[in-house]
Amino acid sequence: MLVEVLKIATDPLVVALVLWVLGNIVVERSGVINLALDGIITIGIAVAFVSTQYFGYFIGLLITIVTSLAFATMFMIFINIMHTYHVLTGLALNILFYGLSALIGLRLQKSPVLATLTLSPVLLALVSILAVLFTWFILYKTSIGIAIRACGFNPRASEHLGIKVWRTRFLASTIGYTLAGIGSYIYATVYRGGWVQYTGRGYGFLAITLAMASTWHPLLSYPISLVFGYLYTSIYALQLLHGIHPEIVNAIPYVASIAIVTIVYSTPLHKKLAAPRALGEVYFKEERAA
Amino acid sequence: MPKVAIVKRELSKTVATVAKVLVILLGLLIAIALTSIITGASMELAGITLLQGFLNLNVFVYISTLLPIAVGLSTAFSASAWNLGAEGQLVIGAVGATFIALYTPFGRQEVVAPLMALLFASFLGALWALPAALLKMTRGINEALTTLLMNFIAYHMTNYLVKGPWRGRAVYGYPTTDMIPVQARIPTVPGYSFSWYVVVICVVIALLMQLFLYRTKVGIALRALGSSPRFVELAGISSKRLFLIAFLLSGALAGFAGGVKVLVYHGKLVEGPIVGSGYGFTAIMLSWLGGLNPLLLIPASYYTAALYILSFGLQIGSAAVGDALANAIVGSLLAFILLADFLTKYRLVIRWS
Repeated sequence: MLVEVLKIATDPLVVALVLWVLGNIVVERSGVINLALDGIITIGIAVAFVSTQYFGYFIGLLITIVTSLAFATMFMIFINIMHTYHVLTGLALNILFYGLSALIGLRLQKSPVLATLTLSPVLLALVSILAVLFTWFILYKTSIGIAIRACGFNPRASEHLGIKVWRTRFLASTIGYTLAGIGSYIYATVYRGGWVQYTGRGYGFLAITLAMASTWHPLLSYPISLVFGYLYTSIYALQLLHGIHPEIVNAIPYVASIAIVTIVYSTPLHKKLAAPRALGEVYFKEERAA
Repeated sequence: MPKVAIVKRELSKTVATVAKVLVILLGLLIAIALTSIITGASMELAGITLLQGFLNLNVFVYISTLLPIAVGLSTAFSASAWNLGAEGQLVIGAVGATFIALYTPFGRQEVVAPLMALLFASFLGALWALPAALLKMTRGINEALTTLLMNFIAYHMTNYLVKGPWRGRAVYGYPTTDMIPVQARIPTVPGYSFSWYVVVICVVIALLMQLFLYRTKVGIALRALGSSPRFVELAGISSKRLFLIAFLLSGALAGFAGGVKVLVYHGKLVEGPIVGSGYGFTAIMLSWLGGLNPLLLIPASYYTAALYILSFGLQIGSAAVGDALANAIVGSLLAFILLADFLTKYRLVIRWS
């Protein structure tokens, strides 16, 4: 049992997934429905793959984070300055980002493979655990985190308390997408070591699902990501041993996520695990015209 | 230090429409320019490919799927019901149509079979939208997220069906069902994979929905729900019931589109992502392009369909680059539409102090 858990916790795919989920939690806690995550992950993976071929592993990491942040800022400009609907913006930018990621990967790659970076399993597990603790600390123990959660709960009231909602959301996206960028980098260089068109598409939606399943709480997200990481990595073993069809295993995270949220909302648990209630609300601050 | 403020403004409908049309034309220019830059083809050639897209009869293949979904979604979005699950509802509709055609005695009766299949497809589509609507109404759970997740459940369920219990006996192990009986298929135009019957039905649906939304009490209340829910309640109409109506209508129309895809296009059930092929998501943007107005959705769906054909025209050179390019073009066009929305609804005020 313990060996199994260790194996999952040190699996680079699971580590990347944990980072994506955490990144999504920070952004969605600030009240933004983060559908653009999927596109930015796809682009992050393509950039990590290409830039590592040109500049080596360390500079590659930096470039991946910077590009993820740049595209996240674009997303935030649409939502916070142009007041567009969150889900529309996310879906529209996703399509653009898929296209860009493929153009970057196809046009700039030197070869279709990349020597995978071998990191010690302990380091990988440490990265994910530290990221979980860091996110939890930021969100629940600092004034920045309280501001972020307030924006996700009721932006209007937080503005009255002197929190600058736009600024807080930009800050949340910076923290969140730094984590997500590191996740994309780990996926591309440590786990995958190669790239084909649209590698990574769909993981963003999975991360959104897992964040919802953990009721947007960083500490809960870790065990939940491990469980689904286990299901994903042992999909064929499950079929051989127990005769469970792979497609059913694939559907489990989505069904479970809806079930968990329904249970939490139907019981007094929702007082403890409050979800960001203003998620997806377009927040417009009326300003006096000059 | 200049201070920038963003202030709401009201533009007349004509100005807003003109702005949108300009964006759409700009989109065409971007499409041509990007194409010629990336593939190295001349601007002229790219322009001709695009023009051919508009004149190609295959646009109706896309219109007959995209239009009904978008009409349904514009109803839902007018009522602030964020149904992102059209993709899943479409796929489940396809499952329903296949079920009627292959596994019930109706499947072999002419006329009855396609009608029953389409009805059942719409019913299943609405049913697939129901849980998200109920969760929102009774528990306040964000419907955008639940419907999004239902898409993936529908994908995997369909994949399970075509790889497992429903896999056809005459398909050599491919993950599809057997072909549905000829009686259940809707006759297509020779040489093309669309049917005039369906195109006419889709246009009629759009017209009926226009009448419903703008000429009936329920429809008008439904549109008011998006901007002022309290007002609707004061008028004595249950806002929850309106929400449910909007949600189920959009689900049913997406299911209908799924039925059409099976009965006209595929002729059998295939894997979930192939049945859906992103139409549910495209339709979300399309309904926005058409300003949530069923009548305007008819030209808007024609435009979107032409862009789809352009993307296939691009793929002739190199499929991978063509597909990436098509995504980049469509994505940036949609971003421009959002930008135009912003510029028509708000203005920037710069104050020097």
